[in-house]
Amino acid sequence: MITKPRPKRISRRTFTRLILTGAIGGSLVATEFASRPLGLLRWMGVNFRRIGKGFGEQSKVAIVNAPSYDVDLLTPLRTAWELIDAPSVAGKRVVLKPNLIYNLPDRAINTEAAVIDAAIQLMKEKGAKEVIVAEGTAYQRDLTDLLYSSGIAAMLELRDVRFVDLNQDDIVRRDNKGGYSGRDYTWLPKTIAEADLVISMPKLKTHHWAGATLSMKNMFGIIPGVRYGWPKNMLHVTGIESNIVELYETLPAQAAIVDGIVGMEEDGPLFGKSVKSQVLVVGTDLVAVDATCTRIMGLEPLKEKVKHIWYADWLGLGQANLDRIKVLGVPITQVKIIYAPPPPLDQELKRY
Amino acid sequence: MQSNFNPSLQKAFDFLAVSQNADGGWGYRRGGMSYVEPTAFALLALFNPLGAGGQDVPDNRYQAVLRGLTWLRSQQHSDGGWGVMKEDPISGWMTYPVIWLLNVLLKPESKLGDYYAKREDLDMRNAGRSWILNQGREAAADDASTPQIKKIFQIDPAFRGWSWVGGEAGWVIPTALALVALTIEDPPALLLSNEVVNGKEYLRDRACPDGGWNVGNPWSLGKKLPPTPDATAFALVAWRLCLTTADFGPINATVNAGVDYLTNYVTNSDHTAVLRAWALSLFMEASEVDDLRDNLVKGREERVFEYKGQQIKKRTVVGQDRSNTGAWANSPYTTALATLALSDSRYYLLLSKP
Repeated sequence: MITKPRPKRISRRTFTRLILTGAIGGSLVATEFASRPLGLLRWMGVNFRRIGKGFGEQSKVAIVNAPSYDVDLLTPLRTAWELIDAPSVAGKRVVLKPNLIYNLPDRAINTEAAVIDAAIQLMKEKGAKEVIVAEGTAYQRDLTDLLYSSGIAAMLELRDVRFVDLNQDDIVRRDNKGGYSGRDYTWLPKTIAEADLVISMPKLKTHHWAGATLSMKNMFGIIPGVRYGWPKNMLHVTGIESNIVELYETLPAQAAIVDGIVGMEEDGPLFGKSVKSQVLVVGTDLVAVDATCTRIMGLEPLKEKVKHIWYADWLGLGQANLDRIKVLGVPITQVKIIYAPPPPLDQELKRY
Repeated sequence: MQSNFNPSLQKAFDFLAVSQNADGGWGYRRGGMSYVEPTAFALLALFNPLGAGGQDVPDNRYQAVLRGLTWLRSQQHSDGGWGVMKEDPISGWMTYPVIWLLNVLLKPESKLGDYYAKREDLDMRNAGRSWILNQGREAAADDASTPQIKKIFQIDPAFRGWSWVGGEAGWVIPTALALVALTIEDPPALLLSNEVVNGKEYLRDRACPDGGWNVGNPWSLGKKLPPTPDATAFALVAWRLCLTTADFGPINATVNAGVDYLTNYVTNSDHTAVLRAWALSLFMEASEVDDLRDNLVKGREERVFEYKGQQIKKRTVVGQDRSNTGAWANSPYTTALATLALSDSRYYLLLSKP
């Protein structure tokens, strides 16, 4: 008689281990794909960055009083710039990016020429090799008339500073660093891609889609219309918040000078009412600057509808928590004016 | 009266020839990277019988057209469309002016085809036209969001325009360019197609309440968004081609309101002045058109601007470059549009109309 060898059988324990390992591995893979565009792996990286951020220094944001556009703005701006220990711009190419949209009578829509002028003078004073003012407005292909009607064209001629229309600049492809928008890359104007420092110069405004439009949202204007069209709708369709943080993480070094001398409440960015906040807000952590600005407008960025600030903070791109921001100059409480919030809108309709 | 402007046109054609980039394309500014749109318009400008479209053509212009067409042909994607420049892999709105150009090139009785067309141009045109019809047009809105869109934006999503990038919402300028591209075909097979008729209704629906067009949002949460001269000019160019005898009533009133807006628009921008003159030249009487063109060439208004009490003189608004380059705003794109404004529109727009 021959005894046949028994077929090898997997023990119950081994079988259970295999099932468990497979289930855990499968769940991780499924979670990675289900949680894209951020993804599990990147999420873990974000968490490390957030933890690291907690040990870092507080972000400095300076608030200075500026009662009107007719007074000397260079002095308070210089004070604010020095308070935040801003990086040296000596020998560097600095691009000032104001917010220019439409020129509607009696509406505080655009960054004022006087504020841009003060920033130009400050950068020259600090030894910048070149100062360029650049914008790619969303609502029209040619913004020359807006430059003239706002006084900016005359001011630029007086200061002998070049203006670049970012909508029709040469473009270069840049890989997105965050991956939050679902796009692998973004076409950027060469003027921005090759800048040593880009200074976002928004107006202090509420915004009917984004809650508030400040220094991070202002960077939508650098997206070249020639590639993405006007009014750059792709940025809305694929998620305003994710695109704001995507750009912030992808762009070169940035700083912010916010024109809050006259801001806009309620139905911003175009049809809201003017509010005299009489401040300039300056910083190099744009998340902290925007969080501070929303607090100046009486909005709480981490609780209310300014999702992109919360999102940027959550991703570890900057500080939005009040206890992680060192406010220098004038305290928020002294300049805080409650802005009427933007109207509620169905977010699904952003594509229009 | 076109011959009055021949010297100016000749300078402009020469500028276009010398401002061509080494790769064969043209940019929005002289020396800027080659983009498809300014290249298509530079070639359209050079197709003028007085430029490089006639029998006796200066060699530099002839070679410029050949190089430009070669560059454009090399940019077509396998889906039939064009991106905005060489490295752009996604087809989009610049397909529209290229198809416009190819339709002018392929006009049956035109001599242009004999000089410049290649065997593959017809296939390229057909593939591009197919891309415009199938991928460039915005998708239909779903039934659930239609009432909200109507309420909040006061637009009718049943009217579908053309997109900057395929698959996105429609907007006025790409819709205008697409309508020209589709209907300029000779004979105009698509003029009465559902897509074109619907596209015309899109333009009518998106007109600003007080006349003219902007990007495509006449209203923002119940408030009027103002028109802009660029969108209005492109919309009017499209209307000049697409208007039929059936378009009386609301459409005619919309077009007239657009003409009024642009007529009254005062600009400090050379580019906008060129666009304005181009669009209005298609709607005005001959004597008015001569005035418009004369101003475009010579420039007449000296303007002074102020900043904080300091007067800053601006050079004369509009006018062909004083340094005798023949350019407007030192831009091949603006110069190409200016030559269209100075030209008999029949060669580049109204192919089958008297």
